[in-house]
Amino acid sequence: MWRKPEDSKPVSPAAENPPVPVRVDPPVRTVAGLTAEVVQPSGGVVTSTLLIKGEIQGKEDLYIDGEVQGTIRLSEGRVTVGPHGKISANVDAREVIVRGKVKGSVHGRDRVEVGRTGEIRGDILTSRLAIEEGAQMHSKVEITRAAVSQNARPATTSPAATASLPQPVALKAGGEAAN
Amino acid sequence: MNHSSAVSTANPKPGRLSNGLKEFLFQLDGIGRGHLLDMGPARQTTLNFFIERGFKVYTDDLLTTWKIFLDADEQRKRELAPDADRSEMTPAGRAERFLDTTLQYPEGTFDAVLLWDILDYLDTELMTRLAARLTSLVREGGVVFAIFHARKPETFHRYRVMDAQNLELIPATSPFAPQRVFQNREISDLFRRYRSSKTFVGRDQLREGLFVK
Repeated sequence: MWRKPEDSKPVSPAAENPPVPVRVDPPVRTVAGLTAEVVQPSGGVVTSTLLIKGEIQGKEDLYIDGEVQGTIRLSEGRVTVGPHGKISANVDAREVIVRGKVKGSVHGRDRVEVGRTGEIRGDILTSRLAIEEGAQMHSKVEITRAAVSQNARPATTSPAATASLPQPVALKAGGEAAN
Repeated sequence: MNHSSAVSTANPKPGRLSNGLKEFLFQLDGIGRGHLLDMGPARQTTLNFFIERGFKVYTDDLLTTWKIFLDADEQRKRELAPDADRSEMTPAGRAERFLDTTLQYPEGTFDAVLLWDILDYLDTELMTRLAARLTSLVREGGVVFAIFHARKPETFHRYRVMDAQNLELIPATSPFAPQRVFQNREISDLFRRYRSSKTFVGRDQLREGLFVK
């Protein structure tokens, strides 16, 4: 028996008329190997070939896939440490997302996320923390009092009451929810 | 027949009632904003559970850190010159050097420690030194929650706190083979400086131990 070669199969109408690619508007800057979701069009990018020594300050978001030694302070911005990122610095920002390595304290005023490839060696201070399966943390974790008040819960310190506080937002990176 | 899979199919509940956890929480009741050391991998639910109870939680995945240390040390050993001094590469030397780089906290820092079952997986040199280090890190009145296997485990698990009564056992890739099955007397010796201890043995052959310093 002869089998028909694969390419002799009838072509489906869908294949004849492939769907029109969806246009991304506004265009999002991408860096090799990174998903667009983490690279903000308005933010800065430290690519994997860069090494920065010193202090970084600003208000915009920053994506770091390279190496930074010093201090990072983005009072109103989000710092994202990419999978190749290597930070030896104290990080202070509105939001910190870690997919690479951080050696130093991490202060994410609103939120800290540690992805599955993330590693933090240093204290974490934030109001919300999300950890993905596989994350490595050698840290003291402290949740700021502000988080409790922001959650608009009754002012009580009893374990029964605090246990009912909402869970931090789970990560969605890689399609898996945080444990 | 694969007995273990038959068992897991018959018992799909993820949680495991933990009398040890209940007793641990009973001991912690009233401490409030204490300091808790979790020596397993960072787990969202476990961290939330204790943070919401007012604890500052320290996480230090000791088995993973030890594995990374050993791998790096083996690499270093391979690169040594044939006539180089290898005296610090002994199990005792490695254990000493490892503890010089990890768990660097002042004495009496912790009110509570989640030790899980890691003592079952460490070589004797590190296991005894770690137990001694922990004793110094726990404050008077502090409590350690440990798990021991009453027989050699077939599967390596990580643990997480589901709620005030249940632990979840999560199958994981074991960085090390189980090293021993502790006898009760050996456990008592390891925790001899603690003023009280309680153990709970489950049907799954897990012994949960609570040690109050």
